[in-house]
Amino acid sequence: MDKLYIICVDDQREVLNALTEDLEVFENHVKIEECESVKEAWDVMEEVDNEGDYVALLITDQVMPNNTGVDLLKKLSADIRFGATKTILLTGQATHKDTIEAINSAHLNHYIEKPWKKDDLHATIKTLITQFVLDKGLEYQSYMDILDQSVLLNNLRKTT
Amino acid sequence: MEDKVSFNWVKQEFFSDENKKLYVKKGEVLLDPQHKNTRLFLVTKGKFLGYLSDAEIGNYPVFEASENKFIGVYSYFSDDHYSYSKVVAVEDSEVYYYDKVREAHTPEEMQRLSQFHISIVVNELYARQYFAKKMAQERHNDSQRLLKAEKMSTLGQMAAGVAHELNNSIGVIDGSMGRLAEFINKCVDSHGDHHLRDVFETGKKGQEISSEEARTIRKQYEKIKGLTDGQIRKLSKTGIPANEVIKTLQKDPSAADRINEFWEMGCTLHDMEIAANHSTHVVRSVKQLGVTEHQWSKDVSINHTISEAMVILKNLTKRVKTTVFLDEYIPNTEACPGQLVQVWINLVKNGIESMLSSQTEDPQIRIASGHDAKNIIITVTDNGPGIPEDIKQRIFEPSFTTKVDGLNFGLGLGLAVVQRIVTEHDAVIEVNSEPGHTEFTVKIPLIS
Repeated sequence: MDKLYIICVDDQREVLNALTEDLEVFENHVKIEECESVKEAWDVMEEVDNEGDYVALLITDQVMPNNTGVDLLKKLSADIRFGATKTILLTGQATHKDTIEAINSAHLNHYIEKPWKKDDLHATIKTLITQFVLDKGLEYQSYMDILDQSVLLNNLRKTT
Repeated sequence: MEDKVSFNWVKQEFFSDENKKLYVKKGEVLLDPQHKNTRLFLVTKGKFLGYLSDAEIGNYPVFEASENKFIGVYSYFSDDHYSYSKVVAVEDSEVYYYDKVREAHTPEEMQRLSQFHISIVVNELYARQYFAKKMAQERHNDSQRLLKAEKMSTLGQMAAGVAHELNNSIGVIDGSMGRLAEFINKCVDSHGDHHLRDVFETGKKGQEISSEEARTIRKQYEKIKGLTDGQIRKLSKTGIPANEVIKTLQKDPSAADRINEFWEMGCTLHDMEIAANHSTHVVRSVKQLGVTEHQWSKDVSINHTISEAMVILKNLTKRVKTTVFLDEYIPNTEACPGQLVQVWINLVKNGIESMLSSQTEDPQIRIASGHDAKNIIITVTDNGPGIPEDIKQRIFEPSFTTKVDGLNFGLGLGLAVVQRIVTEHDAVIEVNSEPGHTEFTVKIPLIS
C-alpha cells in the first residue's frame, strides 16, 4: 500500500498538538507529520517525495515567522511533484488579500477558520483525501475507512 | 527721499522723544475699548497682547506685539478713535508714542508723515495676516489632537467593556482548569504506577521537543516492532529518553498507549494553562486602557512588583534563558504596584516574543533593578534582533505593532500602556537598541 502523508504546519506548538490530536482518526491509514515552520515543512515534503510516497494533504497556518502559509502554498502549487496535493489554509489571521492570493495564485482547496470544529475538519479532510486518491488513481479500497463515500460514488458513476 | 522712509527713520523722527516714552508694567492696560486713543505706540521693549472680550468664551487673544511693532494702529486711524481690543502688557515693557493731535508740521514733513502712515498700514496688515494664520494653524492642530484623543478614549472604553465581559469567562476557565488539574493530579498520584506518574509530570512541562527533533528521535522507535505510526509519532515528542521507553516496552508491549495518554494529559493541562494565562494577560492589558484610577501606595517595593511579574510570566520565561537581578537596598517608594507589574510584564514579554519570533540563537532576557541618589533604575535587556532605527520613534504609539499575529503576541498596546503608566509615575523610559542587544531603561524618581 502506498504511503499517504498529511503535513501539518503551525509555529505554535500548542496549536499543532491540538490539531494532530484531532487527526488521530486518520492515522491508521495516513502518516501525519508535524512541522513548526515553512522551511521544515518543505524539507519533509521533499523527503516524502524522494521516498516515493505521497503528500496527500497540506494543512497550514498563515501567520508564521519568516515565511507565511501562502508562501508555502504558492511554492507547492508551482512544483510539479506536488501537483495533486490538496491544501487547507487553517488560520485565524489571514487577511482578505492573503486569502485571495492563496486561491488565485496557489489554487487553495479549502479555507478553515480557527478555532476549527473537529467534525468539519474531518469531513473536509475526508473529501480532499478521497479526491487525491482518485486523482492519483490509487487503489482506493485500502483507504476505504477514511474516504468520503459520496465523493467516491459520484466518481464511480462518472467513470462507468 | 525714498530711503528716508525706512523704519529707522520713522523711529528716529517720530518715536524717540524721551518725553513721549511710557513704561508699562506687566499686567497693566495700554489701550482699552472704552477710552479714546489718538496715539500710535511703538514697542521698544517687552511684549503686549491684544484681547477681544466675549461674554461666552471670555478674553481671547487677537494679536501680539513685541519689540519694533506698532500698537493702536486701528484707533489711531479710525474716525472715532476707539480701540476694538484691550491691549495688556505681558512683560514689563517700554513704548514711545506719537500723538495725532500734536502741533503742526511743515508741508515737507507732512508728506513724509503720509509715507510713514502707508508704511505703518502695510506693516500692520502683514502682522495681522501673520497672526491670523498662526492662530488658524494652532486651532487646526488643537482640533486634530482633540479628535485623536477622543478616538483613543472611545477605543479605550470599548476595549475595557469587552475586556470586562471576557474577564469573567476567563476567570471561570482559569479557575475550573486549576481545579480540574488538581483533581487529575490526585488521580494520577493515587495511581500505583510510579513510572506513569513521572510521564504525567513530564507532560505537564509542555512539549519541549521541536517537531524536527521528534523526527530524529522517531527513528529509534521505528526499529521496535508492533508500534503504530501514531504511537511512534507521539512517543517521539514526549521528551522521555527513548531508551527508557523502549526498556518499558520490552517488558510490556502494551504500555505505549498508556505512556502517550499520560503524557498527553499532562501536556494538555500545560497548554491550557498557557492559553488561560495569556488570555488573562491580554484582558488585563486591555482593561488598563480604559481605567484611570488605580490603587496607589506610598510604600511600594519595586523589587516585589518585578517578582510578581516574573511569576505571571513563568511559562513564557521558560522558553529563554532568564536572569533576574534585584538590588535589595532599593528604598520603597510611592507607586501603583499593579500598574508597574504591567510595565515589567509588557517589557519582558515583548523582548522574549521578539526573540522567539525571530528565532534568536541562545535567547536571553535579563531584568535588573538598581538605584542611585535620585532614581530607581530598572533595565530589561534581551539579545534579540533589536529595533530598526526607522521604527524606534513609533514603538510607544498605541496602534503600533510589528507583530502580525494578534492572538499569539498581545494586542500591540503593550508599549503604549507602558508609556502611559511610566508617565503617570513621573518616570522616564528609554530604549537603546542594536542587533543582539536591546535595553529598555525605566527611571522612577525616589521621593525625597
